[in-house]
Amino acid sequence: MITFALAKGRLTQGAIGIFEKAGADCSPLLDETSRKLVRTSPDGRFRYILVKPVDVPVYVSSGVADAGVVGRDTLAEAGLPLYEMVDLGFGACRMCVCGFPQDKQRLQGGGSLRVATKYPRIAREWFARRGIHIEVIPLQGSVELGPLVGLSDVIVDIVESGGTLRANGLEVLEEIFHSSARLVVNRASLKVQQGLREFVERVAGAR
Amino acid sequence: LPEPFRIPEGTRDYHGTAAARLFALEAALAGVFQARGYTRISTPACEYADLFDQGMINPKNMVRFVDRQGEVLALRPDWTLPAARACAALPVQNDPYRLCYAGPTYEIRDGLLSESTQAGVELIGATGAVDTEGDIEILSLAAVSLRQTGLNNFVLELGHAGFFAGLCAEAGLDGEQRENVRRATQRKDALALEWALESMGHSIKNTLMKLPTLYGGAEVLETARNMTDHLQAHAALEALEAIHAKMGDQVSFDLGLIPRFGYYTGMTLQGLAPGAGRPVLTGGRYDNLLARFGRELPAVGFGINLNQIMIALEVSA
Repeated sequence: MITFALAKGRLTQGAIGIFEKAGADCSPLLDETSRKLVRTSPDGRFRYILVKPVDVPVYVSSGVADAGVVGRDTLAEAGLPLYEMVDLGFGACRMCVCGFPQDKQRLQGGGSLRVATKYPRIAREWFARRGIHIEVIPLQGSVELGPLVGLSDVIVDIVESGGTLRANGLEVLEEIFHSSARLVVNRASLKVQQGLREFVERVAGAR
Repeated sequence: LPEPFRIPEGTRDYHGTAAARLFALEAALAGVFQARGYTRISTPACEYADLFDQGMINPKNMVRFVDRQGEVLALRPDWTLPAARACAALPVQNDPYRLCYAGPTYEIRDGLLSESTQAGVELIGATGAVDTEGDIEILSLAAVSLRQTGLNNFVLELGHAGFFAGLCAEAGLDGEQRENVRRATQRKDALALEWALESMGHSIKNTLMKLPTLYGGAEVLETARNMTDHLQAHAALEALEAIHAKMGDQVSFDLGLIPRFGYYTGMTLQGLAPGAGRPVLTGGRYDNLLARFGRELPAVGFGINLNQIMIALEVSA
Protein backbone atom coordinates (compact mmCIF):
# COMPACT_ATOMS: atom_id res chain seq x y z
CA MET A 1 0.00 0.00 0.00
CA ILE A 2 1.27 3.45 -0.96
CA THR A 3 0.49 6.26 1.50
CA PHE A 4 0.07 9.85 0.31
CA ALA A 5 0.04 13.02 2.41
CA LEU A 6 -2.29 15.55 0.77
CA ALA A 7 -3.60 18.96 1.75
CA LYS A 8 -7.34 19.48 1.35
CA GLY A 9 -8.16 22.10 -1.25
CA ARG A 10 -6.59 23.48 -4.41
CA LEU A 11 -3.49 21.28 -4.55
CA THR A 12 -5.41 18.05 -4.03
CA GLN A 13 -8.06 19.01 -6.59
CA GLY A 14 -5.25 19.57 -9.11
CA ALA A 15 -3.54 16.30 -8.24
CA ILE A 16 -6.60 14.05 -8.50
CA GLY A 17 -6.78 14.17 -12.32
CA ILE A 18 -3.08 13.41 -12.71
CA PHE A 19 -3.09 10.68 -10.04
CA GLU A 20 -6.09 8.96 -11.65
CA LYS A 21 -4.36 9.00 -15.04
CA ALA A 22 -1.33 7.46 -13.33
CA GLY A 23 -3.47 4.61 -12.02
CA ALA A 24 -4.29 5.63 -8.43
CA ASP A 25 -7.87 5.19 -7.22
CA CYS A 26 -8.70 8.66 -5.85
CA SER A 27 -12.38 7.94 -5.12
CA PRO A 28 -11.87 8.30 -1.32
CA LEU A 29 -10.88 11.93 -1.94
CA LEU A 30 -14.08 12.86 -3.77
CA ASP A 31 -16.34 12.87 -0.70
CA GLU A 32 -15.95 16.48 0.40
CA THR A 33 -18.32 16.20 3.33
CA SER A 34 -16.37 13.41 5.03
CA ARG A 35 -14.30 14.34 8.03
CA LYS A 36 -12.16 11.22 7.93
CA LEU A 37 -8.48 12.14 8.04
CA VAL A 38 -7.18 8.77 6.84
CA ARG A 39 -8.87 7.24 3.80
CA THR A 40 -8.08 4.02 1.97
CA SER A 41 -9.02 3.12 -1.59
CA PRO A 42 -11.52 0.20 -1.93
CA ASP A 43 -8.82 -2.07 -3.42
CA GLY A 44 -6.53 -1.33 -0.44
CA ARG A 45 -3.64 -0.18 -2.66
CA PHE A 46 -3.67 3.52 -1.81
CA ARG A 47 -4.06 5.38 1.45
CA TYR A 48 -4.52 9.13 1.79
CA ILE A 49 -3.68 11.17 4.88
CA LEU A 50 -5.27 14.62 4.84
CA VAL A 51 -3.03 17.23 6.47
CA LYS A 52 -2.32 20.96 6.49
CA PRO A 53 -0.30 22.12 3.43
CA VAL A 54 2.74 23.17 5.52
CA ASP A 55 2.79 19.73 7.16
CA VAL A 56 3.04 17.70 3.93
CA PRO A 57 6.89 17.82 3.87
CA VAL A 58 6.99 16.70 7.53
CA TYR A 59 4.89 13.58 6.87
CA VAL A 60 6.82 12.64 3.73
CA SER A 61 10.29 13.36 5.07
CA SER A 62 9.66 11.25 8.18
CA GLY A 63 8.45 8.29 6.10
CA VAL A 64 4.96 8.21 7.64
CA ALA A 65 3.73 9.02 4.12
CA ASP A 66 5.54 7.67 1.04
CA ALA A 67 4.69 10.64 -1.18
CA GLY A 68 2.76 13.88 -1.20
CA VAL A 69 1.78 16.96 -3.17
CA VAL A 70 3.01 20.34 -2.01
CA GLY A 71 3.98 23.75 -3.41
CA ARG A 72 7.64 24.49 -3.94
CA ASP A 73 7.26 27.57 -1.69
CA THR A 74 6.27 25.35 1.26
CA LEU A 75 9.05 22.89 0.44
CA ALA A 76 11.74 25.55 0.35
CA GLU A 77 10.56 26.93 3.67
CA ALA A 78 10.51 23.46 5.28
CA GLY A 79 14.02 22.61 4.02
CA LEU A 80 13.54 18.91 4.83
CA PRO A 81 15.36 16.03 3.09
CA LEU A 82 13.12 14.34 0.52
CA TYR A 83 12.93 13.72 -3.22
CA GLU A 84 11.24 16.48 -5.21
CA MET A 85 10.52 14.37 -8.25
CA VAL A 86 7.84 15.80 -10.52
CA ASP A 87 6.78 19.36 -11.27
CA LEU A 88 3.00 18.97 -11.56
CA GLY A 89 2.65 22.29 -13.35
CA PHE A 90 -0.40 23.69 -11.54
CA GLY A 91 -0.49 26.03 -8.54
CA ALA A 92 1.93 28.38 -10.28
CA CYS A 93 3.05 31.48 -8.41
CA ARG A 94 6.21 33.50 -7.76
CA MET A 95 8.10 34.00 -4.49
CA CYS A 96 8.92 37.70 -4.42
CA VAL A 97 10.24 40.60 -2.41
CA CYS A 98 7.50 43.27 -2.52
CA GLY A 99 7.21 46.80 -1.20
CA PHE A 100 6.74 50.42 -2.18
CA PRO A 101 8.47 51.30 -5.49
CA GLN A 102 10.54 54.02 -3.80
CA ASP A 103 12.12 51.41 -1.52
CA LYS A 104 13.62 49.46 -4.42
CA GLN A 105 17.07 51.02 -4.09
CA ARG A 106 17.27 49.79 -0.49
CA LEU A 107 17.69 46.28 -1.93
CA GLN A 108 21.06 47.29 -3.40
CA GLY A 109 22.76 46.55 -0.06
CA GLY A 110 24.01 48.43 2.96
CA GLY A 111 21.84 49.22 5.95
CA SER A 112 19.28 46.79 7.24
CA LEU A 113 15.70 45.91 6.41
CA ARG A 114 12.67 44.78 8.35
CA VAL A 115 10.99 41.97 6.42
CA ALA A 116 7.47 40.73 7.20
CA THR A 117 6.86 37.20 5.91
CA LYS A 118 5.30 33.77 6.30
CA TYR A 119 8.61 32.40 4.95
CA PRO A 120 11.38 33.36 7.45
CA ARG A 121 13.82 30.75 6.20
CA ILE A 122 13.51 31.77 2.54
CA ALA A 123 13.79 35.47 3.46
CA ARG A 124 16.89 34.92 5.62
CA GLU A 125 18.64 32.82 2.94
CA TRP A 126 17.82 35.23 0.11
CA PHE A 127 19.05 38.35 1.88
CA ALA A 128 22.05 36.64 3.49
CA ARG A 129 23.25 35.58 0.05
CA ARG A 130 23.08 39.21 -1.02
CA GLY A 131 24.80 40.61 2.07
CA ILE A 132 21.80 42.52 3.35
CA HIS A 133 21.12 42.38 7.07
CA ILE A 134 17.45 41.82 7.88
CA GLU A 135 15.17 41.59 10.85
CA VAL A 136 12.44 39.02 10.16
CA ILE A 137 8.94 39.79 11.39
CA PRO A 138 7.08 36.48 11.19
CA LEU A 139 3.39 36.83 10.30
CA GLN A 140 0.71 34.20 9.58
CA GLY A 141 -1.29 36.10 6.93
CA SER A 142 -2.13 39.46 5.28
CA VAL A 143 1.59 40.07 5.05
CA GLU A 144 0.95 43.05 2.72
CA LEU A 145 -0.08 45.05 5.78
CA GLY A 146 3.55 45.16 6.93
CA PRO A 147 4.75 48.10 4.79
CA LEU A 148 1.31 49.77 4.81
CA VAL A 149 1.23 50.27 8.55
CA GLY A 150 4.96 50.65 9.02
CA LEU A 151 5.52 47.25 10.67
CA SER A 152 8.14 46.34 8.04
CA ASP A 153 10.03 47.90 5.11
CA VAL A 154 9.31 45.10 2.63
CA ILE A 155 7.63 41.66 2.53
CA VAL A 156 8.63 38.26 1.15
CA ASP A 157 5.56 36.41 -0.09
CA ILE A 158 4.04 34.46 -2.97
CA VAL A 159 2.44 36.48 -5.74
CA GLU A 160 -0.23 35.00 -8.04
CA SER A 161 -2.06 37.78 -9.90
CA GLY A 162 -0.53 40.72 -8.02
CA GLY A 163 -4.02 42.20 -7.50
CA THR A 164 -3.72 42.64 -3.72
CA LEU A 165 -0.32 44.29 -4.16
CA ARG A 166 -1.59 46.82 -6.72
CA ALA A 167 -4.71 47.63 -4.70
CA ASN A 168 -2.42 48.66 -1.86
CA GLY A 169 0.18 50.61 -3.83
CA LEU A 170 2.81 47.88 -3.54
CA GLU A 171 4.74 46.12 -6.29
CA VAL A 172 7.14 43.26 -6.91
CA LEU A 173 10.67 44.54 -6.27
CA GLU A 174 12.54 41.27 -6.84
CA GLU A 175 11.66 37.74 -7.86
CA ILE A 176 13.20 34.95 -5.76
CA PHE A 177 11.91 31.84 -7.58
CA HIS A 178 8.96 30.37 -9.47
CA SER A 179 6.80 27.99 -7.50
CA SER A 180 4.35 25.28 -8.53
CA ALA A 181 2.98 22.03 -7.12
CA ARG A 182 5.48 19.20 -6.72
CA LEU A 183 5.18 15.47 -6.23
CA VAL A 184 7.52 14.75 -3.32
CA VAL A 185 8.68 11.27 -2.34
CA ASN A 186 10.32 9.84 0.76
CA ARG A 187 13.92 8.82 0.07
CA ALA A 188 13.61 5.33 1.50
CA SER A 189 10.09 4.68 0.18
CA LEU A 190 11.15 5.28 -3.43
CA LYS A 191 13.46 2.26 -3.18
CA VAL A 192 11.55 -0.07 -0.85
CA GLN A 193 7.85 0.58 -1.52
CA GLN A 194 6.49 -1.75 -4.20
CA GLY A 195 5.10 0.09 -7.22
CA LEU A 196 6.02 3.59 -6.06
CA ARG A 197 8.74 4.18 -8.64
CA GLU A 198 6.42 3.10 -11.45
CA PHE A 199 3.68 5.37 -10.09
CA VAL A 200 6.05 8.36 -10.01
CA GLU A 201 7.11 7.67 -13.59
CA ARG A 202 3.49 7.47 -14.70
CA VAL A 203 2.73 10.79 -12.97
CA ALA A 204 5.68 12.37 -14.79
CA GLY A 205 4.21 11.09 -18.06
CA ALA A 206 0.61 12.05 -17.28
CA ARG A 207 1.04 15.64 -16.25
CA LEU B 1 8.82 27.54 37.31
CA PRO B 2 11.81 25.18 37.25
CA GLU B 3 11.40 22.06 35.11
CA PRO B 4 13.51 19.48 36.93
CA PHE B 5 12.68 16.62 34.55
CA ARG B 6 13.50 18.29 31.24
CA ILE B 7 16.12 16.95 28.82
CA PRO B 8 17.38 18.62 25.62
CA GLU B 9 15.09 18.32 22.61
CA GLY B 10 16.38 15.67 20.21
CA THR B 11 17.45 13.32 23.01
CA ARG B 12 15.35 10.76 24.89
CA ASP B 13 15.36 8.34 27.78
CA TYR B 14 14.97 4.63 27.23
CA HIS B 15 13.47 2.38 29.87
CA GLY B 16 11.41 -0.79 30.16
CA THR B 17 10.94 -2.76 26.96
CA ALA B 18 12.35 0.00 24.71
CA ALA B 19 15.62 0.00 26.66
CA ALA B 20 15.69 -3.80 26.60
CA ARG B 21 15.20 -3.80 22.83
CA LEU B 22 17.94 -1.21 22.28
CA PHE B 23 20.46 -3.15 24.38
CA ALA B 24 19.47 -6.45 22.76
CA LEU B 25 20.09 -4.91 19.32
CA GLU B 26 23.47 -3.59 20.42
CA ALA B 27 24.45 -6.97 21.85
CA ALA B 28 23.27 -8.88 18.78
CA LEU B 29 25.29 -6.64 16.45
CA ALA B 30 28.38 -6.78 18.68
CA GLY B 31 28.06 -10.58 18.49
CA VAL B 32 27.96 -10.57 14.67
CA PHE B 33 30.89 -8.15 14.40
CA GLN B 34 33.06 -10.03 16.90
CA ALA B 35 32.33 -13.41 15.29
CA ARG B 36 33.84 -11.97 12.09
CA GLY B 37 37.03 -10.89 13.87
CA TYR B 38 36.19 -7.26 14.62
CA THR B 39 37.43 -5.98 18.00
CA ARG B 40 35.47 -3.49 20.02
CA ILE B 41 36.90 0.01 20.55
CA SER B 42 35.70 2.95 22.58
CA THR B 43 36.61 6.59 21.93
CA PRO B 44 35.70 9.80 23.76
CA ALA B 45 32.25 11.32 23.21
CA CYS B 46 33.93 14.65 22.44
CA GLU B 47 37.03 15.34 20.34
CA TYR B 48 38.91 18.36 19.04
CA ALA B 49 36.61 19.82 16.39
CA ASP B 50 39.53 19.87 13.90
CA LEU B 51 39.16 16.12 13.49
CA PHE B 52 35.67 16.51 12.04
CA ASP B 53 36.34 19.78 10.17
CA GLN B 54 39.17 18.04 8.32
CA GLY B 55 36.85 15.12 7.68
CA MET B 56 34.64 17.51 5.71
CA ILE B 57 31.71 17.45 8.10
CA ASN B 58 29.90 20.78 8.02
CA PRO B 59 30.55 22.66 11.32
CA LYS B 60 26.91 23.75 11.26
CA ASN B 61 25.90 20.12 11.77
CA MET B 62 27.96 19.69 14.96
CA VAL B 63 27.56 20.48 18.63
CA ARG B 64 30.71 22.51 19.32
CA PHE B 65 31.97 24.18 22.46
CA VAL B 66 35.15 25.73 23.85
CA ASP B 67 37.20 24.09 26.61
CA ARG B 68 39.09 25.91 29.37
CA GLN B 69 42.18 26.29 27.21
CA GLY B 70 40.12 27.95 24.49
CA GLU B 71 40.23 24.92 22.17
CA VAL B 72 37.12 24.04 20.17
CA LEU B 73 35.66 20.60 20.94
CA ALA B 74 32.78 18.78 19.25
CA LEU B 75 30.48 15.99 20.35
CA ARG B 76 31.05 13.02 18.05
CA PRO B 77 28.77 13.49 14.99
CA ASP B 78 30.05 10.28 13.42
CA TRP B 79 32.12 7.23 14.42
CA THR B 80 34.34 6.81 11.37
CA LEU B 81 36.65 9.76 12.01
CA PRO B 82 37.35 8.90 15.69
CA ALA B 83 37.83 5.24 14.74
CA ALA B 84 40.32 6.19 12.00
CA ARG B 85 42.18 8.50 14.38
CA ALA B 86 42.36 5.82 17.09
CA CYS B 87 43.42 3.17 14.56
CA ALA B 88 46.27 5.31 13.23
CA ALA B 89 47.81 5.31 16.72
CA LEU B 90 47.87 1.49 16.93
CA PRO B 91 51.15 -0.40 16.30
CA VAL B 92 51.90 -1.21 12.66
CA GLN B 93 50.70 -4.69 11.63
CA ASN B 94 50.52 -6.62 8.38
CA ASP B 95 46.92 -7.73 8.68
CA PRO B 96 44.17 -5.16 8.29
CA TYR B 97 42.65 -3.67 11.44
CA ARG B 98 39.09 -4.81 12.06
CA LEU B 99 37.39 -2.49 14.55
CA CYS B 100 33.82 -2.25 15.77
CA TYR B 101 31.99 0.18 18.03
CA ALA B 102 28.60 1.19 19.42
CA GLY B 103 27.50 4.40 21.06
CA PRO B 104 25.69 7.71 20.67
CA THR B 105 26.40 10.34 18.01
CA TYR B 106 25.24 13.96 18.04
CA GLU B 107 24.23 16.00 15.04
CA ILE B 108 22.48 19.28 14.42
CA ARG B 109 19.76 18.75 11.82
CA ASP B 110 17.73 21.77 10.70
CA GLY B 111 19.05 23.67 13.68
CA LEU B 112 17.95 21.03 16.18
CA LEU B 113 20.04 18.58 18.16
CA SER B 114 19.60 14.94 17.21
CA GLU B 115 21.09 12.10 19.24
CA SER B 116 21.25 8.64 17.71
CA THR B 117 22.95 5.40 18.65
CA GLN B 118 25.22 3.94 16.00
CA ALA B 119 26.82 0.50 15.85
CA GLY B 120 29.29 -0.21 13.09
CA VAL B 121 32.58 -1.53 11.77
CA GLU B 122 35.70 -0.19 10.07
CA LEU B 123 38.03 -2.37 7.99
CA ILE B 124 41.32 -0.48 7.79
CA GLY B 125 44.25 -1.74 5.68
CA ALA B 126 44.49 -3.80 2.49
CA THR B 127 42.63 -7.12 2.55
CA GLY B 128 43.91 -8.39 -0.79
CA ALA B 129 45.25 -7.37 -4.16
CA VAL B 130 42.15 -5.33 -4.95
CA ASP B 131 39.85 -3.09 -2.92
CA THR B 132 36.83 -5.07 -4.06
CA GLU B 133 37.67 -7.80 -1.53
CA GLY B 134 37.32 -5.34 1.32
CA ASP B 135 34.14 -3.88 -0.18
CA ILE B 136 32.62 -7.36 -0.41
CA GLU B 137 33.59 -8.23 3.17
CA ILE B 138 31.90 -5.06 4.40
CA LEU B 139 28.81 -5.47 2.20
CA SER B 140 28.28 -9.09 3.25
CA LEU B 141 28.67 -8.08 6.88
CA ALA B 142 26.19 -5.22 6.33
CA ALA B 143 23.59 -7.66 4.95
CA VAL B 144 24.14 -10.20 7.76
CA SER B 145 23.99 -7.44 10.38
CA LEU B 146 20.72 -5.98 9.10
CA ARG B 147 19.16 -9.46 9.03
CA GLN B 148 20.41 -10.02 12.59
CA THR B 149 18.49 -6.94 13.78
CA GLY B 150 15.28 -8.69 12.72
CA LEU B 151 14.62 -6.66 9.57
CA ASN B 152 13.54 -8.98 6.79
CA ASN B 153 12.72 -6.44 4.12
CA PHE B 154 15.58 -4.04 3.40
CA VAL B 155 17.53 -2.73 0.43
CA LEU B 156 21.31 -2.28 0.30
CA GLU B 157 22.00 0.45 -2.19
CA LEU B 158 25.39 1.44 -3.60
CA GLY B 159 26.77 4.59 -5.14
CA HIS B 160 30.34 5.71 -5.88
CA ALA B 161 32.04 9.00 -4.98
CA GLY B 162 34.23 8.72 -8.10
CA PHE B 163 31.32 8.69 -10.53
CA PHE B 164 29.97 12.13 -9.60
CA ALA B 165 33.51 13.54 -9.32
CA GLY B 166 34.34 12.19 -12.79
CA LEU B 167 31.23 13.63 -14.42
CA CYS B 168 31.85 17.04 -12.84
CA ALA B 169 35.48 17.05 -13.98
CA GLU B 170 34.46 16.04 -17.50
CA ALA B 171 31.88 18.83 -17.63
CA GLY B 172 34.40 21.32 -16.22
CA LEU B 173 32.07 22.50 -13.44
CA ASP B 174 33.40 25.04 -10.96
CA GLY B 175 32.82 24.71 -7.20
CA GLU B 176 29.52 26.54 -7.13
CA GLN B 177 28.04 24.77 -10.17
CA ARG B 178 29.09 21.45 -8.68
CA GLU B 179 27.37 22.27 -5.41
CA ASN B 180 24.17 23.27 -7.25
CA VAL B 181 24.19 20.05 -9.28
CA ARG B 182 24.89 18.01 -6.14
CA ARG B 183 22.03 19.64 -4.28
CA ALA B 184 19.51 19.15 -7.10
CA THR B 185 20.64 15.54 -7.65
CA GLN B 186 20.32 14.77 -3.97
CA ARG B 187 16.67 15.87 -4.12
CA LYS B 188 16.14 14.17 -7.52
CA ASP B 189 14.82 17.56 -8.55
CA ALA B 190 14.95 17.63 -12.36
CA LEU B 191 13.74 21.22 -12.56
CA ALA B 192 16.39 22.61 -10.20
CA LEU B 193 19.00 20.56 -12.05
CA GLU B 194 17.90 22.10 -15.33
CA TRP B 195 18.24 25.57 -13.80
CA ALA B 196 21.69 24.72 -12.41
CA LEU B 197 22.81 23.62 -15.89
CA GLU B 198 21.16 26.48 -17.77
CA SER B 199 24.38 27.98 -19.10
CA MET B 200 26.00 24.62 -19.99
CA GLY B 201 26.47 23.10 -23.41
CA HIS B 202 23.84 20.76 -24.80
CA SER B 203 25.71 17.48 -24.37
CA ILE B 204 26.87 18.21 -20.80
CA LYS B 205 23.33 19.14 -19.90
CA ASN B 206 21.88 15.98 -21.43
CA THR B 207 24.37 13.85 -19.53
CA LEU B 208 24.00 15.44 -16.11
CA MET B 209 20.20 15.62 -16.40
CA LYS B 210 20.19 11.79 -16.22
CA LEU B 211 21.85 11.74 -12.76
CA PRO B 212 18.62 11.71 -10.68
CA THR B 213 17.23 8.78 -12.68
CA LEU B 214 20.27 6.51 -12.37
CA TYR B 215 18.91 4.17 -9.73
CA GLY B 216 17.74 0.56 -9.79
CA GLY B 217 19.39 -2.75 -10.70
CA ALA B 218 22.68 -3.40 -12.50
CA GLU B 219 21.20 -2.07 -15.78
CA VAL B 220 21.87 1.40 -14.32
CA LEU B 221 25.63 0.79 -14.59
CA GLU B 222 25.24 -0.05 -18.26
CA THR B 223 23.28 3.16 -18.93
CA ALA B 224 25.88 5.16 -17.01
CA ARG B 225 28.75 3.71 -19.01
CA ASN B 226 27.29 5.09 -22.22
CA MET B 227 26.97 8.56 -20.69
CA THR B 228 30.63 9.43 -20.20
CA ASP B 229 34.18 8.92 -21.45
CA HIS B 230 35.79 10.09 -18.24
CA LEU B 231 38.36 7.66 -16.81
CA GLN B 232 37.50 8.25 -13.15
CA ALA B 233 33.79 7.74 -13.83
CA HIS B 234 34.52 4.50 -15.72
CA ALA B 235 36.80 3.24 -12.95
CA ALA B 236 33.94 3.87 -10.50
CA LEU B 237 31.50 1.89 -12.66
CA GLU B 238 33.98 -0.98 -13.02
CA ALA B 239 34.35 -1.12 -9.23
CA LEU B 240 30.58 -1.33 -8.84
CA GLU B 241 30.34 -3.98 -11.56
CA ALA B 242 32.96 -6.10 -9.79
CA ILE B 243 30.89 -5.82 -6.60
CA HIS B 244 27.70 -6.74 -8.44
CA ALA B 245 29.41 -9.82 -9.90
CA LYS B 246 29.98 -11.11 -6.35
CA MET B 247 26.91 -9.81 -4.51
CA GLY B 248 24.31 -10.24 -7.27
CA ASP B 249 20.83 -8.96 -6.53
CA GLN B 250 21.55 -8.45 -2.84
CA VAL B 251 22.57 -4.91 -3.86
CA SER B 252 20.98 -2.20 -5.98
CA PHE B 253 22.41 1.09 -7.18
CA ASP B 254 21.82 4.82 -7.06
CA LEU B 255 24.53 6.82 -8.81
CA GLY B 256 22.88 10.01 -7.59
CA LEU B 257 23.64 8.95 -4.01
CA ILE B 258 25.98 11.61 -2.65
CA PRO B 259 26.65 11.09 1.06
CA ARG B 260 26.45 13.79 3.72
CA PHE B 261 30.03 13.32 4.85
CA GLY B 262 32.77 14.40 2.45
CA TYR B 263 35.52 11.87 3.22
CA TYR B 264 34.32 9.06 0.95
CA THR B 265 36.51 8.19 -2.05
CA GLY B 266 34.97 5.02 -3.49
CA MET B 267 31.92 2.85 -3.04
CA THR B 268 29.24 4.36 -0.79
CA LEU B 269 26.35 2.39 0.65
CA GLN B 270 23.08 2.91 2.42
CA GLY B 271 20.56 0.50 3.87
CA LEU B 272 16.88 1.37 3.50
CA ALA B 273 13.87 -0.23 5.18
CA PRO B 274 10.12 0.41 4.93
CA GLY B 275 8.84 2.69 7.69
CA ALA B 276 12.23 4.24 8.48
CA GLY B 277 12.24 7.56 6.65
CA ARG B 278 16.02 7.84 6.93
CA PRO B 279 18.67 5.23 6.06
CA VAL B 280 19.09 2.48 8.66
CA LEU B 281 22.72 2.04 7.56
CA THR B 282 25.31 4.29 5.90
CA GLY B 283 28.94 3.80 4.96
CA GLY B 284 31.52 3.55 2.25
CA ARG B 285 35.18 3.55 1.25
CA TYR B 286 37.50 6.33 2.47
CA ASP B 287 41.02 5.66 1.20
CA ASN B 288 42.58 9.09 1.87
CA LEU B 289 41.54 9.58 5.46
CA LEU B 290 44.23 7.54 7.27
CA ALA B 291 46.99 9.43 5.44
CA ARG B 292 45.93 12.47 7.47
CA PHE B 293 47.17 10.63 10.54
CA GLY B 294 50.42 9.55 8.86
CA ARG B 295 49.26 6.08 7.81
CA GLU B 296 48.61 5.34 4.13
CA LEU B 297 45.89 2.73 4.49
CA PRO B 298 42.76 2.06 2.44
CA ALA B 299 39.62 1.78 4.53
CA VAL B 300 35.94 0.91 4.29
CA GLY B 301 33.15 0.59 6.84
CA PHE B 302 29.54 1.20 7.80
CA GLY B 303 27.43 2.35 10.73
CA ILE B 304 23.92 1.18 11.61
CA ASN B 305 21.49 3.73 13.09
CA LEU B 306 19.80 1.75 15.88
CA ASN B 307 17.05 4.33 16.38
CA GLN B 308 16.00 4.04 12.74
CA ILE B 309 16.14 0.22 13.04
CA MET B 310 13.77 0.39 16.02
CA ILE B 311 11.34 2.52 13.99
CA ALA B 312 11.47 0.10 11.06
CA LEU B 313 10.96 -2.91 13.37
CA GLU B 314 7.95 -1.25 14.99
CA VAL B 315 6.35 -0.57 11.61
CA SER B 316 6.92 -4.12 10.32
CA ALA B 317 5.65 -5.70 13.59
